[in-house]
Amino acid sequence: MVIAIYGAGALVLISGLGVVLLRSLDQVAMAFVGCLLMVAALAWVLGAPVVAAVQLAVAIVAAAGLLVVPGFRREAAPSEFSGQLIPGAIAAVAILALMAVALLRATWRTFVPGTGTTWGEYLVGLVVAALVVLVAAVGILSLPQARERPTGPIEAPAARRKRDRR
Amino acid sequence: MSVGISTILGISAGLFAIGAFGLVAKRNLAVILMSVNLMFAAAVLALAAFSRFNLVPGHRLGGQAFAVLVALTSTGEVMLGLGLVRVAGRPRAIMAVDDLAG
Repeated sequence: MVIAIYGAGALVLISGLGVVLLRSLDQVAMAFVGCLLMVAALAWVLGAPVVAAVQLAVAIVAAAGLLVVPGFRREAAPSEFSGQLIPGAIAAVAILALMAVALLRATWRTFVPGTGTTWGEYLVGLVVAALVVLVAAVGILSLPQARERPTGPIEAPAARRKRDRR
Repeated sequence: MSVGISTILGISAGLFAIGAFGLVAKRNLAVILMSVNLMFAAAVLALAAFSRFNLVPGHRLGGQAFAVLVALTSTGEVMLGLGLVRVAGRPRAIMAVDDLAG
């Protein structure tokens, strides 16, 4: 149990670092899916099988999306750093420092489990959220896929017709 | 030897910081969306830990229910990214957020 938690936690952090540090988008996608799977494993170990199942579904959707998106792997630009490398590092270190201070100073108070012992009490909210995600999925599948547009300035339709007539 | 909540929250904080770094420092839209998803996953982990260690007053499954809601929200964010790439029609251009400005 302890080894599983530490192992899964280490894999979560290593694969998360892979997402932001690797250059090839194939490797980034693999690290991302691996990270989500390890989070699902950790949730399972923590005694939250429903959370683990939903996280597994998120990983499957993400993996399918990354493989299905046309041109993603073939045409996409490599994963490069923007000019915001130092601000990003500062933000990450600041967040870590804040969380470390909060964790070190916190005194955890456990509560006796009361209500909320069955999933039925949360059913309405979860069903509504699941329906919203379902509508989003149907919307994406029904979107007309745009053709590859040439890069360059956007031209008004009237100007394009005038140019075509010439 | 047992695992305390601080260990799980430490892992969660690390994952959240990695996601924040990717969100700010990366240029590729797909990687930026993945970084946001890592931050959502960190929140899911923390909520599952809260539920495991009975830190949600009066609700044994409250943390798990919130974790499921956050996971569903992150699924919606994945859908948003896929929809953006699908309708843009310029996979190479939209993948680099700097190019969207000009």
